[in-house]
This record gives sequence, C-alpha cells and structure tokens, in this order.
Amino acid sequence: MNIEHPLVTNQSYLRHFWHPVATVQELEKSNDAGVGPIGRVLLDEPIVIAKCDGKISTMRDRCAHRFAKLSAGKVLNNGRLQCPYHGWEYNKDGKCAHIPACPNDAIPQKAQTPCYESEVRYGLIWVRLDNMWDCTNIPFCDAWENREYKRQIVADPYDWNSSAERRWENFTDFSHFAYVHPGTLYDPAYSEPAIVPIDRVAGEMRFYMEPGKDMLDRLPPDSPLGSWTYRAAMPFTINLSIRLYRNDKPFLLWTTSSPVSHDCCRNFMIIAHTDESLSDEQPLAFQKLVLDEDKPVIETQPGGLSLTEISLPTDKVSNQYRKWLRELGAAAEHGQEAFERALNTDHIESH
Amino acid sequence: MDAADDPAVWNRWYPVGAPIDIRRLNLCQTRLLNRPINLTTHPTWISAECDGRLLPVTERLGYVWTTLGRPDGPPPQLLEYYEIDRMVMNIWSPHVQCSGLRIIDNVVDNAHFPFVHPGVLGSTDRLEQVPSTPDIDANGVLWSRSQKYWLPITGAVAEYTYRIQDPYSVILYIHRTDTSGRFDYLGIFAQPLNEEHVIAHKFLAWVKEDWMDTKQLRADQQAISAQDKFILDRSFPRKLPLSGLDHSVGVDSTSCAYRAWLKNLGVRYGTHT
Repeated sequence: MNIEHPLVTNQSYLRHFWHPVATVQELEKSNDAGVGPIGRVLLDEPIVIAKCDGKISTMRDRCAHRFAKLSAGKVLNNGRLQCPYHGWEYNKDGKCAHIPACPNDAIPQKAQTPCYESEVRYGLIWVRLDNMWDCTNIPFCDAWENREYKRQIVADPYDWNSSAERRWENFTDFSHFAYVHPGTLYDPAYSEPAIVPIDRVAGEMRFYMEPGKDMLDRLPPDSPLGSWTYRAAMPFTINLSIRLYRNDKPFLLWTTSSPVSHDCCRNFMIIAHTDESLSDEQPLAFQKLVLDEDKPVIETQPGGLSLTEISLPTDKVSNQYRKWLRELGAAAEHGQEAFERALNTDHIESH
Repeated sequence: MDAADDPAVWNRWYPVGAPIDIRRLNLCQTRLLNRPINLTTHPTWISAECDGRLLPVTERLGYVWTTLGRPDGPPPQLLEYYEIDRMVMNIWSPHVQCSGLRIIDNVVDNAHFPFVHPGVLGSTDRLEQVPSTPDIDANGVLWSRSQKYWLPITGAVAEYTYRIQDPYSVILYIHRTDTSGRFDYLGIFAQPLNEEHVIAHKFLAWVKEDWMDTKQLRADQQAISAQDKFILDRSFPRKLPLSGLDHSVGVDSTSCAYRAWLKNLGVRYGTHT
C-alpha cells in the first residue's frame, strides 16, 4: 500500500472481525443445485463458498495439490467440493477425502485447505478469517429486530474500487451531502454540519443527526429524510435507523463494506421499511441513484487513509472513526487483551 | 466595570464548557462577563442564551464557544488539534478566584515553575532560562518563541512557544524533539465569570505515543493546575495590574509583553487600575 504516512500500518487486525462475503441468494443462484462453489476475495485472501453436505462452508480457494482454484470446480452429489484440475475431493471441513490419481494410497496429512469460521445471518454469508481471539460479533442489524418493519430487502452486493474505510466514511459523512447529493439527499443550503456527540459502546460508534426538517419540501419523496440514529459496529458496518419526517415511521438503511483488498470493497445493503405496498424496486432505485452520485467521487480517492489528510472540526465522525481504527490496529499488535480493551472500552459523550 | 463597556473584551468568543462535561453534568447555567448564561442541551448541539437572547455558538477545540458581542473572527484556531494521531482532552475546568487575565499571565510566566511546580516543571537548582523576545505578528497575535528551560520530568531542556491572540486565552506550543516542525499543544481558555472570578478551561492536544496513559496524563496535568490554583486563588489584587511593572526582571519578559499587549488593545475588564 503506497500511501504516505498510513493511518494504520498493519491491517491484519481486520482478520479478527466478521465480514460478509456473499449473499445467500448469490450462492443459491450460482447453479441449478444452488450449492456453489463461488469464489470471493476477502482481505486479499481468495475464498471459496460452497454448500457441502447441506452446510455452507468457506475455505481458502486453493487446492493443496497444484494450487488451482476450487471455486472453478464443482460440488458433487456426494457433498464434496471437487477441484477442477485433477479431481481432488474436499469435505465441508476442507480436508481432502479422495485423490483420483492415487485412489488406494493414503491421503497426505497436508492435503487440506484451511476452512474458515462462517455463519449465515441477515441473508448474508459471514466469515471470520482469524477466530483465535474469538472476541468479535457479527454486527447488529435492526431489520428483523424492530417489529415495525414489514419488509426487509437484502440488496445485491455492489463493488467499488475504493477501500472499505473510504466507503464507511462516505456513508457517514455529513458535509458531502450538499456537494455530491444536492437535491437528492440534502439541500445545498445545509453545508455546515453539526458536530454531534459520539459514543463508543460495545464495539459500536453511535451518534445521532437531525437534518433540517424544512428540506422536506425540496427533496424527492423517496429521499429518506428524517432523524438519523447511527449504530456502526466496527470496522465497516453501519445500522442507520431513520425516523422519517414525512410520516414518523422507521426506515432502515443498513450497510457493510467487505474489504476485498486495500483499494477494492464489496458492499452489502439491507433496507427495511413499514410500507407493505411498496415495491422493492422503488427504494432500491433511489439508493442506486445515491450510490451513482457517490461512486465516481469516492473512487478518485486512494484506498488507504493517510495521516497527512487534513481533518476539520466538522469531520468529527470520520476523525473519531480513524482514531478508533488506529487504536485497534495498534492494539492488535499487542495481542488479544489489548485488542479487546481497544474494542470494548466504552466512551460516552452523549449523556 | 461592565464588560459591555470594554469592546476589547466584549467582542470576543469565550468557552462556556466542554460539551462532554455539559452533557454529563447536565449543566444548564453558567456565567460570562458577569451575566447569566443558560445552556440547553439538544441531541446534536448545545445552545446558549442570555436574558432571553439566543447567542451564537460554535464547537471548537473541545469546547462550546459563545459571545455576547460582535467578534470580527472565529474563536482561536488550531487545526492541528484535529490531527488523527493526537490525544486531545479537556484536562480540567477549575473555578479560580482571580481575573482570567491573571491565569494567562501565570501560564506565560516561566519564572514561577521551579517554585510552584518543583521537580515537575522546574527546579531551584536549575534556574537558568533562555528568555525570548516576544513579537507581535501582522494579525496582532502576541508570540513568545523558543523559550528554553530545564524540565525535571523529562530530564532535559524543553523548548516552548506561547501564542496569545485573545486577552483571555493562551496556547503553548511544546517543541517536539523527535519530529521537528510538530508541536504538542497545551492551552488555557479562560471563561471570565466576572472581573475577579474565572473558569480556567485547560486543554491538551499531544501527539499520542504508545506509552501514554490518558488517565495518568490528566491526573498529572490536574496536579500542576492545582498548584497554580493554590497561588492564584490567593492573588492580590485579584485583577491584573497593567502598570507598575518596574519590579520586573529579565525572565518576566513574556509576562511584561502580555501586559503591554493588553494595554495596547485597550483591555480594561479584569485589570487592576
């Protein structure tokens, strides 16, 4: 990563967090049987996702033999994942169970590919590359918790040539609305944002924003203008609960950015709302409009965050975010205890 | 005197507290320039009001600032405060029974270090100092640059620069030895409750090192402030004299320059005549 004075020098702390790598629907649509395999990349690590023996497995996408990608193979009727090159067959736990070229020889101990801890939640397949410290949780999502929500939409993931950090900052940035989303999300008159209190609670950054109510008349009806309550589980998830000004109903925008590499991220989005008659296309189309405004700008930024960037008082959210990322990165180098302390020490500003 | 009659003091921004403290303590009332200030905490900001008049507010450098007059610029600026690799905090906001001008005068007076803060900021064994010749820049800001003296807590000679752009505030630049061109910042923004009572908001913005312990640092800095408070609470007169400086010696140069600078600005509120 050729960035001058990087914010965090060692990115390996990110391996201790849960990240989504695909939607369940992507796996189901991957072929007729709906079992994969599909290949993804997380933190530069190629991952194969496959349903073996009825269970979704995530493994390093590399056959132990000659390093062919298992995601180019197939899931057999016997529930094993077969390498496309020489037909090695892998169990759901990543162990090779059959080598066609030497069917009667003992299978070498090393004939396996690392299997990652994975879990399905919110219609997403989550992976934790390093679970040695076992001190992180799958981030909070309010879509199925809040009974007011009548419809939950798990959107198709979208890729940006940007880092997950940049995407996070873009989503929570208050002072870009007036420039990137004039007339869509915000009225250009509101370019000086409030400097809000920010809490750290249980590994989440929590804060609240109240955009001007008088913008309501000037924005399109689909614009989710309301009071915004953010619960952002570190490092890349944001649960934005909106209380809409127009009808006082809740509207959820949930997003998480999955770090593919230092300058590429795959983004997952869940929308939840209370209007049973609303077609899914409508809120999705509005979000696409917003994303199409953001993407070309954010992709001009280098992926890595640098200490030499200028931080303003009104950048408080990203300033605090960066400080926490930096603390987490440094703490991880000191081991589990320091990392857990950096992640789970609460700090309250709001009351 | 009434502060409203002193434009050099009236038309300034003043801190009324750290937002984190205002929220935690549910602080609704404070005073500024002998007037009651009502504070209201909203979810996203804190408003201030005086006798039914809503005052301008802004949040900068860890404090809520307001003004009763018409300042011709923003509160003191220090963009470095927002650098990501810094640890920033409001160290303490003690009430002190003297003019806020005395607080600032005390900060710039290095000669008291060996006596009020022995073993920490100075030592009576090492009284030598390299005083600087203060200067005033094109913006009217008073600078006292590159003062050097012995600092027992680090066991080395420290280099300091003082910046005064408001009568009631001072920012100290501690020169960093390992990263030249960068400074650690320490400052006091005084909130004059009246001419003889003040809340001294003391902040810190230091480049964060691995070994730093926030709680310990705050405790250490509070201890230093407590030593100052002991002396300042007993000031006589409580207000700062601007004349009769003939008892000054060379090492008081910054203090003298500050008082002369105040006089030149026409500051009267909080001064002893």
